[in-house]
Amino acid sequence: MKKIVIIALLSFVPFLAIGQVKQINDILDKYEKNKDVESILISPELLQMAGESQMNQPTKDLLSKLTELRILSVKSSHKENGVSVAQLLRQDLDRVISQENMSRILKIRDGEELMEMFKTKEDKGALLFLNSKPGEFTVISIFGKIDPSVVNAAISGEINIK
Amino acid sequence: METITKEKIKELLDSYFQATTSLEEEKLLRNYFATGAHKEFEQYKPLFACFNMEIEALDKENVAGPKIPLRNTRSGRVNFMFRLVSVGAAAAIVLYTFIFAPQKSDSLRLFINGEKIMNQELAISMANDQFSRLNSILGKYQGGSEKLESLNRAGDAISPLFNIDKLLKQNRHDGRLEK
Repeated sequence: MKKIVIIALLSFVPFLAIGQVKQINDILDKYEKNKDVESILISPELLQMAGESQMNQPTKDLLSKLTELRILSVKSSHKENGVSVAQLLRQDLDRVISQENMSRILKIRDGEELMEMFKTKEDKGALLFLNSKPGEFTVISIFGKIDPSVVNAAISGEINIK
Repeated sequence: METITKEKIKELLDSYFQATTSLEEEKLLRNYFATGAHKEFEQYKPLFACFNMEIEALDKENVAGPKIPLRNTRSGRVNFMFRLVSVGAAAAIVLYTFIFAPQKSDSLRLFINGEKIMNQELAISMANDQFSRLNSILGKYQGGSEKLESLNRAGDAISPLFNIDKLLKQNRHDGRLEK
């Protein structure tokens, strides 16, 4: 019995790091098929293939560290049982952020627009951008090895799709 | 020593190869082949000689001391832990391959209003729009950080003035500037 417990625990050790990523992915999966929602999932390999000619080496290096890009945009007007879906999504994400002790790296308010940037504690995790503005709430999540170079590139606007 | 007839040996050998001999009968066969055997049974001699050698080797080990269970030794524990970790790793690979990995198989997924749309260009274009918007907000942060930096530079520039002021205050306190 003891052996079984140890084996079970050992088998789950590698997944502790991807637990946060899975939680975020689960939330995005939950909302992606809703009405008034735009959801995009792109693998960095596809991005590299799409922009092979224009992409410079630093961008390629950066993309090699990432495993997935996900964007979810919800119209604030869309409601479910009288509650805004954008608000529900925000609540779900806030719960993961506080549960997993994700650190807030940036908070920028520009008029009515608010952008917050969060990072998981582990390097192999996610970088989350939550952008709230009147009429829309957008989540941009970048999964992979989120080391300082990726954070700096994101802050300085170096992560470009095209 | 009791002599065993050729027929008896034949009978015992038949039983031996049918795995129905008793331990006593096997011992009898081993002794028979150890002391010599009839020409007809010469071919079995090496087989029983081998058994005798094994028994002797086992006896020697028993004389050397009681056998310590492997898992109580240090290498035994290491082997046990290695086996445990191997099984854990194998379980992890199986879980990852069949449970977690399939979720990562998509290289592109685009949903608009709950409908799956297979259009790579549209997906990339929409993602590009979102990143452009994000970069534009981050540009404002950079503007802000530049302002902070310029404030910092201004602070550095006026710091010698503070030093002069400090020096003047100290001299005043010491009474050097008062007459």
